Amino acid sequence: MTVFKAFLKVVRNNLFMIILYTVILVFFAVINVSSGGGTSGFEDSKPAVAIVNDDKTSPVTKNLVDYLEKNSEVTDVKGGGEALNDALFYREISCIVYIPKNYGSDVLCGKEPELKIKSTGNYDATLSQMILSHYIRIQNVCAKNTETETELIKNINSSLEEKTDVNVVSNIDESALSRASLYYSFASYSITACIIFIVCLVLSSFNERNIRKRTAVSCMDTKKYNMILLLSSGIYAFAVWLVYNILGIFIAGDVMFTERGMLYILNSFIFSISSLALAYMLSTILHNKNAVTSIVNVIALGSSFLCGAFVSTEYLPDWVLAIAHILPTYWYINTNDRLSHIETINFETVLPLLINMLIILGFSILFSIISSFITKKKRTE
Amino acid sequence: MNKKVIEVSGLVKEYKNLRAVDGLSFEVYEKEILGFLGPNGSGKSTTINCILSLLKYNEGDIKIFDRKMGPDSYEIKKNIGVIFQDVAVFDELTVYENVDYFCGLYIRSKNTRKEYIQSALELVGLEDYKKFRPKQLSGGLLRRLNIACGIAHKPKLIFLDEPTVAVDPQSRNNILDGIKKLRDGGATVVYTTHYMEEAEQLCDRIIIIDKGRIIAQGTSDSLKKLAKIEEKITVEVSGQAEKLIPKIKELNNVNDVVFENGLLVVSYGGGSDNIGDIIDLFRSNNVKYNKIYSERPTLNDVFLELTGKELRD
Repeated sequence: MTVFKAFLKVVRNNLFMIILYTVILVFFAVINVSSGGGTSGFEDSKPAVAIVNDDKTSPVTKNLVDYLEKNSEVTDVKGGGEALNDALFYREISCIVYIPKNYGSDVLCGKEPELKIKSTGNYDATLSQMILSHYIRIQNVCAKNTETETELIKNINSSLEEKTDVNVVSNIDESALSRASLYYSFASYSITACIIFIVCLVLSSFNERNIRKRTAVSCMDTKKYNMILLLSSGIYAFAVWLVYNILGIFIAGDVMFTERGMLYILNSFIFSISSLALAYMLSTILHNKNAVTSIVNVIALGSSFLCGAFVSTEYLPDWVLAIAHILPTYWYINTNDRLSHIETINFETVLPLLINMLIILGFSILFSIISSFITKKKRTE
Repeated sequence: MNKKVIEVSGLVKEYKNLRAVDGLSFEVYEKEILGFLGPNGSGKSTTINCILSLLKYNEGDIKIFDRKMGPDSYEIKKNIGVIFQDVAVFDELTVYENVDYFCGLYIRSKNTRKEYIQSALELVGLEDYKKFRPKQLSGGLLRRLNIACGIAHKPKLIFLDEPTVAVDPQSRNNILDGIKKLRDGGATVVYTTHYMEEAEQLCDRIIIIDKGRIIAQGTSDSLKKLAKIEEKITVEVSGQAEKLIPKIKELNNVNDVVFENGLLVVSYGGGSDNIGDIIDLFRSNNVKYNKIYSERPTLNDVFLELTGKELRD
């Protein structure tokens, strides 16, 4: 207990830095939450459309216009051709539908007249064309079996009224997931910094040459002493992980109590182990307390930038991502990103995430082997 | 004679091309203060580190409390306290917490520890600094804290490796008084220093070491006899003294005369009123002087006699 208590006292001495890293994380998380992001549920969208109608008198044409008005935002663009082109260019409308002269009578005669369409080619324009194609297909079929305008309009409208229920297969709350993913990815910085900084600083005090010498001549078993230091570091890292996950629950909400949330938590736990192993390795190399701050900044900030904790990986150049592969942070953030995008949780979708976690554990083992190699080498010198 | 606490025989420690300790053999007896005296680099600290199993040695045998000492001899280590030359304390802990930590490595009981810490702090005079952090202490107080950390668990055998280096006179006296109290309380002390005055003042027995070998050992008085001088007279000369040197050498009992930087040092092998003879000689030859004083031989003279060099070199 003596060593553990002293460990905690030295940690207490550096409480300011722990609070600072936590505040940075909370600050970022709050900004992220307040800026919103993501959508939830299914929403019927209406694209903006302009109509140039040269067949205003026909009831058949009027029925088409009514349909478009009902299923899209028909915009009245004043000023003719040039103004329409400008509206299209500035994306005020997604497409222009040109209805030619005698359109109504041609439909009734079964001629299947063509509508001219000018579009931006974007998602809304495609949607407008789909809405229009749907109507034209029904209109053409109905026109073949009817002779009067009234009957044609009636048949078209009754066919259009048949609605399809939309079942949302994915019930992911994208907003909450996006918050969780961003929070946990950013937490990679705080977890790394908080664990490496404190563990290195505290262990450098315990490993200080003269203190080590004084401990070596005491009746404390050296192996037991090293084990207590390792356990104390582990307890500290666990506490950091626990606090950051409690904060995660506050920030991401109920999603943290789902299978997906558990995977975020497991991923962060494994990442904390690798950070602890890295901290232990660094403490065997670093003996100067002043150097610890610089090293922590280089490692925590550097890996966070390279691996996409601050900037999404899709915006990072390939060569940066290639370098990032040699850092555990990359695999940790990659798992968080994947978790926010997979539709359903099953063995197939979770397997790549588990492989990522195994890679992180592999890094932890590598760091531990290096630490033990350095320690043994120092002992024989 | 008291029981043997430490027995070292034929100790050899080599570093590549250097033989730092060259076949040392000695004993330390219960309740004595043994001075380990020698110039810097003579092998004092290496010997202590070998005894404490902090260094592997090439040859020899070391026994403490009648048992072979090794890195895993935790039963022996329970009764050993070590105060190293360099201060070994946590900057992040207070004076009390530091002593508590190091005492806690030996003593589990919280109540016993509390009592021991109090007595250690009183011994080194740090009762009023319990809540201070090491950085708030002066060099002397820091050394005292270093000692408190090493002796708080009330060890039977204490090693002090140059504990008074760069310490103010007040703290130095406090430290030396504390060491005497520890001996009086029943502890055996091995005291390493290159300050001969400290060794003379404090130690019951002294071992003089040079180039990893013991060149002399015994009490302060028995060692001084090795210097082959009884008295040393020093004259601060203001006039021409060179012409007097042949005449001084002709005086009774004079062993040696050295004149350097205005100081004339005359060594005697015996006799009485030697200082009167010197004063008469200066007066009769009309040579002026500022000061004249007589000294008993020191351990430095012993070292000089045995090695041909000063202990401070």
